[in-house]
Amino acid sequence: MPLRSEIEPARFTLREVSDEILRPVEAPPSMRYLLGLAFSLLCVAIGVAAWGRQLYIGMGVSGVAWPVMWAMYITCFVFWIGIAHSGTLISAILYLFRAKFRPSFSRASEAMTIFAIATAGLFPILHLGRAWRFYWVFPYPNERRIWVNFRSPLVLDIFAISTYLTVSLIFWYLGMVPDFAELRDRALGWRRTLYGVLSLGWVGSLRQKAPFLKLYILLAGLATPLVLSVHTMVSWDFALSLLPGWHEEIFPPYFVAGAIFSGLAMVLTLVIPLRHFFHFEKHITMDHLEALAKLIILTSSIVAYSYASEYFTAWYSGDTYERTAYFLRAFGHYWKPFWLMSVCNVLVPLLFFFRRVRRSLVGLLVVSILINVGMFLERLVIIVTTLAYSFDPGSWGLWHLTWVEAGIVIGSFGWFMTLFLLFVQFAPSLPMAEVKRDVLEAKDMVATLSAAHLLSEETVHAA
Amino acid sequence: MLRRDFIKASTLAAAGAASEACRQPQQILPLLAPDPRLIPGRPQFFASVCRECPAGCGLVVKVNDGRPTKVEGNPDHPVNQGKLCLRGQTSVQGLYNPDRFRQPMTRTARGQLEAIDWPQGMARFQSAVATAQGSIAWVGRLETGTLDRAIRAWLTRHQAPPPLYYEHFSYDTLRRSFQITYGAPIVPIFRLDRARSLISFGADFLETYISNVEYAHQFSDIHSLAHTPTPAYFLAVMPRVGLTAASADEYWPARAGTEYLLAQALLAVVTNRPLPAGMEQCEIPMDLIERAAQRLAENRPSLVLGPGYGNDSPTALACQIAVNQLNDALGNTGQTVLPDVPHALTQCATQAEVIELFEQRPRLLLLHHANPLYHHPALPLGAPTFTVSFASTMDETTQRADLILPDHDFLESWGDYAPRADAPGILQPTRIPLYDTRPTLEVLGEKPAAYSDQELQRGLAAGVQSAAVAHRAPATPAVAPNVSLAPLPAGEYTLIPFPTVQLFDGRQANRSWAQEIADPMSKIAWDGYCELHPETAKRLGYEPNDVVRLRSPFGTAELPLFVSTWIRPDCVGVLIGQGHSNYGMWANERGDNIHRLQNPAPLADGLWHAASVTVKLESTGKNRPLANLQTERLQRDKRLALALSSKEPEPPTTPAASFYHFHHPYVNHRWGMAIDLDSCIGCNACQAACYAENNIAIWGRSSALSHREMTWIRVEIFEGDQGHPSTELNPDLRFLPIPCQQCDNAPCEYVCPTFAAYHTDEGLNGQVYNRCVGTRYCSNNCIYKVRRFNWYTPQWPEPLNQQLNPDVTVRAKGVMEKCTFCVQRITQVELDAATNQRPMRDGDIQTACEQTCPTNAIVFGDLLDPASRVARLAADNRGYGLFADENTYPAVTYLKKKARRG
Amino acid sequence: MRPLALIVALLFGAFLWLYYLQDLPFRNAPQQAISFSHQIHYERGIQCAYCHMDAPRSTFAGMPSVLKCLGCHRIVIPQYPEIQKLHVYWNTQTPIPWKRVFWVPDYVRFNHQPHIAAGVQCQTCHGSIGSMDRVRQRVAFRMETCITCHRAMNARTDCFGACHH
Repeated sequence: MPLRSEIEPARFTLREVSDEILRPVEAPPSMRYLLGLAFSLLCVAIGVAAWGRQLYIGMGVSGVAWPVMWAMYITCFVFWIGIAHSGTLISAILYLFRAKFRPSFSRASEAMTIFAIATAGLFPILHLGRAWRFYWVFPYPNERRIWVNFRSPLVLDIFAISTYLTVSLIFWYLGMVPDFAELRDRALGWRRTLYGVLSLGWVGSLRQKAPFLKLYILLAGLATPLVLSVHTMVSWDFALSLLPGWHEEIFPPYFVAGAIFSGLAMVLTLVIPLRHFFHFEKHITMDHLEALAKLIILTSSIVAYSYASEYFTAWYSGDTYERTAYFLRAFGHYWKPFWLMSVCNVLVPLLFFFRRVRRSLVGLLVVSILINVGMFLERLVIIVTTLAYSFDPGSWGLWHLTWVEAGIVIGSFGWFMTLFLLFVQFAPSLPMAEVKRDVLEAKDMVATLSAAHLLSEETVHAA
Repeated sequence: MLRRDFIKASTLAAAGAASEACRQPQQILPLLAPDPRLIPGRPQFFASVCRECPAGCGLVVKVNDGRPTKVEGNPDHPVNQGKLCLRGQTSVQGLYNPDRFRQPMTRTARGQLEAIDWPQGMARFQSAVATAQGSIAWVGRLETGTLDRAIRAWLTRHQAPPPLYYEHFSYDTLRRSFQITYGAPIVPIFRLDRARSLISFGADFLETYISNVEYAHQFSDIHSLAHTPTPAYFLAVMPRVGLTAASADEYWPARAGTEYLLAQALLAVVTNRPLPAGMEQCEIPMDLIERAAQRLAENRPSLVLGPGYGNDSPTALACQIAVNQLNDALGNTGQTVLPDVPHALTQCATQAEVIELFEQRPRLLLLHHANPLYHHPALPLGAPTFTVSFASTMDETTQRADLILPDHDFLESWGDYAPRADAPGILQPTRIPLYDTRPTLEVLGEKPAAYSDQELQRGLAAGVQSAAVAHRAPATPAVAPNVSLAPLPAGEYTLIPFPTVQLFDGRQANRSWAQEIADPMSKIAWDGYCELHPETAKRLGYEPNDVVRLRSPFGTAELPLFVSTWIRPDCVGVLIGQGHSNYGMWANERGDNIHRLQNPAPLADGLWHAASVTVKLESTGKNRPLANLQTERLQRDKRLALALSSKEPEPPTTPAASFYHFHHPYVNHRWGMAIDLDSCIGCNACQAACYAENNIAIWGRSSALSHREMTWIRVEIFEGDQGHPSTELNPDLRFLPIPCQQCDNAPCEYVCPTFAAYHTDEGLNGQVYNRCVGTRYCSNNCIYKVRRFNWYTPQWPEPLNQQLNPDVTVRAKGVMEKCTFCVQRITQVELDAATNQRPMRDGDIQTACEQTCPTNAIVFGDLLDPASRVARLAADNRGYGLFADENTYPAVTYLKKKARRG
Repeated sequence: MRPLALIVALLFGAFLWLYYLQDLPFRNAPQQAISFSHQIHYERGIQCAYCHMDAPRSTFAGMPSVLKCLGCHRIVIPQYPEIQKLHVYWNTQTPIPWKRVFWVPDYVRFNHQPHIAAGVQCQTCHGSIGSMDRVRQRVAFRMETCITCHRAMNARTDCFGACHH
């Protein structure tokens, strides 16, 4: 017998689906939306002002100092890139696995991926002492006959992230082409032109669909290893150094798992309000959200294992630098963020073992926010405590947050939110084509089952 | 062509370049007439004498395009033999001090200072002199030779008493003790280099006592394993461990004021007489005293030094007398103590004499580079005294002046100074005067007669007053004054005012380098502070950085607290040299003036004593964070500053080459360094030299609080190591200078995305400033944390920008920098060797730090040259690499310190 | 309006092309305080090193002192107007304010000494000054110029050690 969630879509009509999903795009923006957009633009303005100050006066306005030369900006960078990965996991990997719950939030999470990369991509420029020379890290032909240092993890990052951005962008855009086509068909005036351009002449014929599906699955296949490789490269920013606390072999799987973990939590944080404000309850069901929660438990346990493994290895190795670094991470000046992070990443997700929490919107939202806090702190703790307490005790020193740093971080969140809000306004937040395909499949299934007298139409429509 | 004119012209030539800072000069100005000695682009060198303190070290001043940019020690000068302390290195900052007077000034009727020109100034001066006939006083810094004679002649002509040479460290107790024991009140010459054992009852000979560079050099010669296989024994007896006691082999934390008992006890043991009464007050066990006496007797000649400024208590005279007698009993007189060879400090007035002079209120007071009101804030100065000051900058005494006729800085002056008869030195101008100042000699109207070179030498030799008589046997101990130790009142603490090597008596406080470079013991920069033992602090409920109010019967001072185990629990230490109220932008607002706490009047013995008060401590509820540049002093098990165990020395711990490591192939040279921890005394001269040579920026206190100092070489201090913890009775303090290690397998090089950090073909770790985009990954990955980042655009307030070394890039904001082993010096010597086609010899290239280190702890050279000193030291048994087990293959070898005895 | 906008855009583009890609700044030949002609002096057989003496021994090649010019021009055409200017400079003891034509940025620590020692001709970098009335930079001072020659002459190409410290 099929699951209820598989039959549910049979109740909808295709017209209904289009109308509901496209309502946010086609209807004029509500006051609430405009306030949200204004608020996120304000955050962006704060960020721009803070960065302007930093460019003008120098990096001294941030809290980084000797020896903690990286802090908030790199934390944000890793945080946002990490978030991006679960979007690709959902849209690419789950596509390959034909997961049934995927369509409900694949579009939103792909968008989240793109915007997270766009946000993360700001930080390698923001944290530079001479940001106006950022292009020197790209290997472009120049008369000075010099290349970049390909051994440097930062250069590897450049390649990883630009690849990831390119593939994800194409993948996301391709998926939206049929939806843009539908928007074009329903729109008038300048929107018709806009969506006309964006939909690349899609009419939904078989001649278009076949290569489309082939390309889509190819891109999904291409994006899949990126989920693992990109954050591996980002983790190498730390693992390829030789600092105790960074130079850990477990970092690639640890970071990838952590990335997916935080990304899934961010998907929840984005999708639950989306679902609420735009009334997508029919399409994003509790079952779908519950599936995310279960994935969260899985990734959280990998992260918890990584923490334990790090500590065990530090102790077991007998290496004095490792032991000191890990001891002071837990009990040094930054013990509060460390324990908060441990609670949020290891203990709080355990709440998802309880069905009541898994199926309650408030529970999901609160836990997902706490997880994001915890994962943000994790990157901060890894970076700052390692740098603060490295080899020579005479070189130990602390980092303190400053207004400029906080302003830039706020700006980055505002930037992400602005992009996401604009996305919600101009593109469908759910993959209409796939939802409709699910509806048609469900109708087929119901018809087949009814014909075999295993299910009655009334039961389906009564539910 | 006149010398002055060519200097003028060449300065003009540089003016175009210098004034445009980092932009390209738009103009090129040629000389008017060529001078064969002047090659544009190459520095010139002038010999002079340092006037930063009475030690009188010889200088060689490097002048670029008519601007002095660096001072170094003169290798031929007998006092310092080519070395220079931190204070000497900051003398260029004195020349280019933004707070200098640019022209004469006069005080208006309303009390404001108004700028005037020289004719007006001279007129006012002449009229003041005429009015004050018969009641003229001269209070100035110590001068010898020509200027001394000229001043005396002028004063005699105006029926004035002889000049009062004011030095706050006037060694009154020492001189009185010599009067009593040897018949003449002199400051003698001490010869540490002849001693086989050494005791100091408080004399901080590595910091400020008489001639610190000379003594540091001599101390290293007798005490460091690098210079002698049988190091001398050094015992320090004082209530606070300063830099001097940190290098001691044995330390007695004797109760403050009981040093005289210990000195008398040693004397008694050595001469087989009964011990003095009250020995238990010292808190030092008898067996230690006997062992020390035995060491003294077995290792002759020895040298015993008396109390210093920090423990100049009412019993200091008794202690110094006992010390003199002890020296005599041990046969040191004539060997390590030369009582018939006076140091120029003998000419200084005593503090009591200065106090008396001010109380007499002369009608005209001439101040010449002296600042007595800083050290004696209660001294009266004002109407009816008309004060004329020849000072270069405003200070606490000059702020009461009615007329300011600024003298040239010593780097702009002719003159002579001889700290002792066999070390005459001539000062010559190294640039045309920066401002509209005039030499004081000219103002006085004295024109020294023209001397020939020979006459000059003879005149100088004769000019040093010889106030000593031949050595006489000292009188019996009964001559010692009757002193007893007053018990410490409950709730009060003995005040230990300690001078430091950087700030001396406070006169270097207006130099930004002396402020930015942290104190070597406390690692605190930019602030005055008080020190308490942790037990005391805990008992009183004080936390570090709490502002504590010290209250003596004579005044109060509020200072933030630094908790240290190096001071007795019943004492409170106060740093002297900070607390200025009107001494320039860098000296002001650094805490309260602690001299207010001291007793302003001389004591019963007629001497002014610095450490004669006890203070009460009160909490103020305020908090002032201290910029502490090194908060962790325990190495734990990190094997940083190693010492030899008392057993066999260990073999070098640098690991062998392995398959996994790519060694750079070096063909011509591999530059390396060896730093001997047994020689390093932690004086920070290397840091100052590096600041001067490499255009290193000063950020100030707020940045120092955030750990943003730029020092390319830092001297870390550690207390013992895991196998040998440092205790209060047996402090094991180790100084570890850390420049860039120029690692062969550098962690910073592979992580830089733009190749700004990479390895040069000669073994240096290069940092290409213009290629740096500022990711700061290199600093993160550096395990020695030697890399520094430019957080802001460095500012050099005029005219300090004239001090900048044109051979070194001035870095902009956003760029990483670090020690380069003075690559500009390496390059220049290599170029000259190639141009002149002669090979380079070991010692041709001296990095700035190596050049100035008074104890020769730093050795630089070519590791590929088997004959070089550094190659030999790299293979030394005592040698090891810092964090060698991390396989960075540093080019710097450290030599282990000797093990502690006792 | 359309053609006008196009023309303006073209002109602007041409300006940018000329300014940035044609290195216009270095093509300038500034007018000097005294109109000294290298060509005339070179034709008379005066070698570069006669005036620019410090090249073999210093970072800078050195500008000749005022007295050096006067050395000859006390006697040679002393009444010529440009020489009159020279006399004025000498009599008022003012150095002649030459405008710089050849320069490298701050982060390039160029030193003439090793180049002269290696036998590099002045004309290689400074162009054929001997045929110039007014000095104009003809050879672009780009890093590529330096590197090409260093590689060809087997000179030191170590970034930090040679040049950028």
